[in-house]
Amino acid sequence: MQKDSTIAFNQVTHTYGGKYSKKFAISNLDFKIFPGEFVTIIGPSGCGKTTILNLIAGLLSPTNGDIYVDNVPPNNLLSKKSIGMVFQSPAILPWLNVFQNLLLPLQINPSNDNGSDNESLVGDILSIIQMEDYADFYPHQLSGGMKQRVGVGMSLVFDPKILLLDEPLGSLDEITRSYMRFDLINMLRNRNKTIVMVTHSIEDAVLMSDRIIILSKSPGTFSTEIKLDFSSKRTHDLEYQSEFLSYVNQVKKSLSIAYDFKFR
Amino acid sequence: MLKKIKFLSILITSLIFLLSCSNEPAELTKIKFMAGYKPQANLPFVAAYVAKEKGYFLEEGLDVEILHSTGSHLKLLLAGEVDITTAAAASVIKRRSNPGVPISSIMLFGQKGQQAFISLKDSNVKTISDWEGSIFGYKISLPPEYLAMLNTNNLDRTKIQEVKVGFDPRILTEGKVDILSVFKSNEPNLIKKLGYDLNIWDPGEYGVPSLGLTYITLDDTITKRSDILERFNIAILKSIDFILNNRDEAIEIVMLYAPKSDKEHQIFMLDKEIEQSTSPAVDLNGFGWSEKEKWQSLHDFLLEYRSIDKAIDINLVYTNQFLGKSIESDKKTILDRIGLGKN
Amino acid sequence: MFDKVKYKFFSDKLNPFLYRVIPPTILIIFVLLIWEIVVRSFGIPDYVVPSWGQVISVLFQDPIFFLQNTVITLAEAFSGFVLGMTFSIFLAFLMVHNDLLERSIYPIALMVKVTPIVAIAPLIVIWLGFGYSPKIFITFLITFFPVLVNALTGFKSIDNNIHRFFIILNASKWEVFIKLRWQTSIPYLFSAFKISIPLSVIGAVVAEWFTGNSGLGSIILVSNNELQTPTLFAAILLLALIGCFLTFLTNFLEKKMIFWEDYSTIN
Repeated sequence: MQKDSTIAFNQVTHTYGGKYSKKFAISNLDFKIFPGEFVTIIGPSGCGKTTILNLIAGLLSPTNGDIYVDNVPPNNLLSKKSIGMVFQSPAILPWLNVFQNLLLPLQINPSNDNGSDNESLVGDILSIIQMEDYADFYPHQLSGGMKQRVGVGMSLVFDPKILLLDEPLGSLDEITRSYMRFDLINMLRNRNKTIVMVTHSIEDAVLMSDRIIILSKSPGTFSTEIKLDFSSKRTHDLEYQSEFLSYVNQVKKSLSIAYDFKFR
Repeated sequence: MLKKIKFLSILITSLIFLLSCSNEPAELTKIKFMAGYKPQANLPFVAAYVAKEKGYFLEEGLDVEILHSTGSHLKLLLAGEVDITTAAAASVIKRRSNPGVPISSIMLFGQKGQQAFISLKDSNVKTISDWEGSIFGYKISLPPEYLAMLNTNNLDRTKIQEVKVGFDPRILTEGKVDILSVFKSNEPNLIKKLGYDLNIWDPGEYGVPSLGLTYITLDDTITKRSDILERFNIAILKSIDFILNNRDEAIEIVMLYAPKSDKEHQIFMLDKEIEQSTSPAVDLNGFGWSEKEKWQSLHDFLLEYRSIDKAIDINLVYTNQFLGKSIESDKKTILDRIGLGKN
Repeated sequence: MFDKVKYKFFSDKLNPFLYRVIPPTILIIFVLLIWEIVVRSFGIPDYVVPSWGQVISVLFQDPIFFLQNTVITLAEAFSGFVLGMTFSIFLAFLMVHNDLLERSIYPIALMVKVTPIVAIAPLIVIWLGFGYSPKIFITFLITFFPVLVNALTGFKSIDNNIHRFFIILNASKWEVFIKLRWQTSIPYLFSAFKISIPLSVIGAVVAEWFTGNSGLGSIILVSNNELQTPTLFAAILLLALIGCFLTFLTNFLEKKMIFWEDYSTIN
């Protein structure tokens, strides 16, 4: 049992495809993620990043190896609603307004103690995601960034211990991205949650995480990791500081080693 | 050498072509005859089949295309797409009255009506008085013969449930109706073959006037193309003669047109219709003859029972000009034979 | 200046009703005019093609008669459609949760769909007797398949991410159905309704050819048989109007129920 970590992967291999066309998504992957950490897993498409999130969430079972989330295999955790997930295209229902969407996770498989507090919980989340003025708007009336905030809110409202972010800014344009990443930092960091994010964006990873794990090329396995210890606060200004730039370069170098090519 | 062979072969081919062309009889008139239902042994249909297969049409200089109706034969006649078709005598009167279509009968096959009513022998409806309290099924509209039967036998119509049932006779065998309106030459045999015995009521035996199938054509055709109609009828009369004396071969000809049908049923149908085509007037005047009194009785009957709302001049409805006595004397010998005797 | 006014008057924003109604009305009037001219100048008898004037006058000679029969056909169509819709949705619900059921049922449903109704209608009358049951059943048979196919497709076409989210929340299959699958299927269901609703009217009409004495189908059968062509056309006209009305109604309901999709036209 892995008592010191929230999430542990032990020589995990996952394959998909049939008997004659088996593909390895990840192979012999080892890593640990500790309570309260914000870890980003980075690498180009196809190296198994989404598979890792699905494995942590218990949506997939590993072909080989062990996974522990909070000391138990992920399947055992499902009933506790202790894992939330944010997707590249937000999992919001088009026929419900913002308020109703945020209420939904509380209504599904409800735990008995919440009852009438649901509405005030949603109210709190609305402020956190800064959508108080849009509570009765429908998704088709919202911009991409706003929809994503609702998506995040839906995974915060039931207060899961673990949050999985699958390319949360992937579908947004550059400009929206540039401020959304700080919105995410405000919404997610310092809330005592263990967060695992996968992304293509090196800058997002550096700005938002405590640690970056770099995967090798497909089939993914652990390549290297980089700890991010900023002296200043994670705000817009950080982007122009040398600390930031040097971490970005470090990541780029590690990536090029992992993938045998040079970043331009 | 090659050139010579080429020339010779072209010459020979042309000669063969010319010769085969000249073998065809000059000027065959093309006409279209449409039987008013699917291929089967109704006498008017059989007469046409035999006339075609035995070459009687060709002898009269007619190239007849035989078609079968899926329900629109009257409309096709009116539109000029077919020249001659079949219809029940009552239909001719009805349609002449409303909407007033210009059609006329040129040969009357059914000297007695086709309509009959049946019930299963082992049902509760055994005599006509049992009709009260039963369910009566008809095909599309309530037949006036039914109303006449009620009247003549003093039956209370309110005590009978009348339902439209379409054309499937199994509605009777499955017990959904007690009495069914049918064609004498058709359903009774079909149902007997399913293994059921029947009670049959013939409206004719209760004094209800009725006539059967006819050939019809447009008034226009009678006025402007009477020669063709005469030739057509002569060919048909030759057919009738053949059928009366060669029933088995006639059936074989029917089977050419209705290969998948039940031969025994076709025999039943033909025999029944031959039986219905005789009358004293036919004996006297020749096959297919129409009597004014009979047509008038039918007309008055239809008027009485509201099958028609407007009376019409019965002389417009039929003509005997292409039959029997009306036809030139040199063709009489055949007709005498068909007329079964006296002239 | 005049053009600008005319344009504004007919634009779909200012006067949507006229925008939709005027063009087809003009076309219809044009067609009717041509029809009347042709019928009169060629002296076509009314038992072949009636003039539209005759058709209208037949309708107004006995409007109650036509109204009653229209209502009867509509009622049969509606009943058959509701039956078909309910049955199909229920069947699709079972099929989406059980793959074996789907594989067993689908080919049978397909066979029912391709069987020509006119072949089995007499048998249905024999089995179900007279009255409304055979007619409603025939209508049901004609209409259920599009709804079944579309309901099943709709139930399956749920967003993958949302589905994953539900699973992480440990939602029950029922919760997934009622909170996700059902609403996802609504646009698909309406597509099917646009096919099935007019079909249900046709089904009712065809059924009336085989049994009963009421309804527009019966009028068509009898008037066709008796060459009462103006009456025939009158019944057909009523059916066309019913069809249009039902289609408008369906579209209207669709817009109301599927408010989350953008239906605005680009001008």
